[in-house]
Amino acid sequence: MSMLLEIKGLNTFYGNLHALWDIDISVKEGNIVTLIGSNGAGKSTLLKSISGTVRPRSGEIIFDGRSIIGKPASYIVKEGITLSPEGRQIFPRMSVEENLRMGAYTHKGKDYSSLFDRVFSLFPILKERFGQQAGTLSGGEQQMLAIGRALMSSPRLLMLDEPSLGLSPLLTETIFQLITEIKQQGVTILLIEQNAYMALSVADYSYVLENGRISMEGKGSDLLEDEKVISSYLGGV
Amino acid sequence: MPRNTMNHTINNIRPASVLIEVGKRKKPMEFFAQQLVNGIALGSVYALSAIGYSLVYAVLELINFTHGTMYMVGAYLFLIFVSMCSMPYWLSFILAVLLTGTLGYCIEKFTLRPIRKKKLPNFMMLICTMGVSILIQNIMLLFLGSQTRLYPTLFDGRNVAIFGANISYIQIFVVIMAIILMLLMTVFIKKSKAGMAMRATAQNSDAAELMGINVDRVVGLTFFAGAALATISGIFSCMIFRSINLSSGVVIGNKTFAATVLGGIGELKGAVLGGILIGIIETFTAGYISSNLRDIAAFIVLIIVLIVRPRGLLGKPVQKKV
Ligand SMILES: Nc1ncnc2c1ncn2[C@@H]1O[C@H](COP(=O)(O)OP(=O)(O)O)[C@@H](O)[C@H]1O
Ligand SMILES: [Mg+2]
Repeated sequence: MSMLLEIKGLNTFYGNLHALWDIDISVKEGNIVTLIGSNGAGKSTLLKSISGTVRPRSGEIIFDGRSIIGKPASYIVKEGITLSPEGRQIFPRMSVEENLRMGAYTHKGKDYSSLFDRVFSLFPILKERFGQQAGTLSGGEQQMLAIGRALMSSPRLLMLDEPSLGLSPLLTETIFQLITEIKQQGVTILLIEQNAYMALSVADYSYVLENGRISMEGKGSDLLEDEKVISSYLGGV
Repeated sequence: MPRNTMNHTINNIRPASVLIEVGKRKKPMEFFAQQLVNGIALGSVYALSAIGYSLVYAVLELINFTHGTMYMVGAYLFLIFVSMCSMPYWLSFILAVLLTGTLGYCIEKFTLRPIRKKKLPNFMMLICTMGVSILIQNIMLLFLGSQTRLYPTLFDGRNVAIFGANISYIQIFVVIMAIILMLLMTVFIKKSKAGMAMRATAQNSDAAELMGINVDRVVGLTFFAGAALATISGIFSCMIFRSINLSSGVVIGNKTFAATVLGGIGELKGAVLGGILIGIIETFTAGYISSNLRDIAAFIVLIIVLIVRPRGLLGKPVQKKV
């Protein structure tokens, strides 16, 4: 299969802070690609650079053969890339329904029912909470809403920034289960995780980001056995 | 309305205080009813203005000092179209609303947006709106002079007596129009795609951007709506008072602020409630205490509210944006 997303020589700055250094990454269509790395390594910055909320200084971002670097966020969503950001960032004083409708903001036409149905089949709890204010949901439910909202735009590439943040181990397992299900529906996934073990287990391919640079890459199963990865990211077990 | 009104300076205007003087000779119940009617009419005008103000605050967390100025610009444009250009009222009204709305949009686009893009602190935008207001006010002073002018009105000042209160047709008209506009605004904000995008932007502009919402366009639309509502409020209240003066913009700006904070800033219902309460408080102060205090009353209430319940009557608890 071809590469859906290709990044070459990407550099991103915050003022004088050089956050990403010459990043090269490829994401194959239909794969789950994960990005691990410690806090402050630049993982979120990379996803923001792709989604158009942070402007990279140089490099190439090619999505499905087209250059999307420097394009505004609203354009990139329409191209088929949606980011579910770190910390969920749902709209707290809107209902679950309204949050999902906002997710489908770029959707043309008035019929949202097939979009809703798809989200409900993955997250039945959201159907029960349909009219409830999103801010009153539990942490796990909010995370499901954040992923569901991202799916409402029918993305070809779904980017998830630390979906397990603040969730119990059991809920984390559920979320990862659902992520593989989303992959089976044909959505390509680029995933960031602190929980490296989980991330590497579900990944077709993985990258390790260290101080803004890619330090290692390989199949998820290979990295799981790599000594350096084990000592730095898997707690030395 | 004679065509040359613009050249007339009037010293003997007939604002609501005249009604109050008349009212003082009435029986207590009738006097009370009169103050209430005047208060509700005035309050519905404040409510319209407060909705616009509150929208802008909700989306940008900005205390917008141009709001009162937009009120004045809009009200004067209507006067100019009607008196100098002899245009029909409805056309003058629509033109004044659209032009002032566009001015609000331009102020955001050319002065506030650059500040926002540089991610400078919010108070810089606030100072910027102060500067723009002063600039516009002085330009208007240059061209229009400081005198009070007679303002065109509807129904020739006719009124009806209900429960001993004199209710003018224009008061009834304004209240009905205000109710219709408030309902329309509510439906727009709650149900339309653009209104939902406004709320989403207000609650989390970064996330709104990730949904594919063009946040700049939403902010621009919000400023347009804010200025348009200020204009409608300005035209209606000048029609009730039958006069206009360049200082009225500053006064209304302050009262709108008081109304919005009283009701709960960033809340549509709060803006409506706050506006009507400020209107009633004002006419009752003028009627029962002294008409010299009418403009101060609102601020005494504001200060009390800020001390006792800073989030206002209907406001959500103050929380920091993430
Ligand atoms: N908005 C910002 N302004 C300035 N520096 C930032 C900003 N966001 C992140 N950084 C810095 O960029 C680096 C990478 O951050 P981030 O991408 O959030 O890391 P990660 O997601 O891997 O934890 C960190 O040093 C962080 O302090
Ligand atoms: Mg991060």
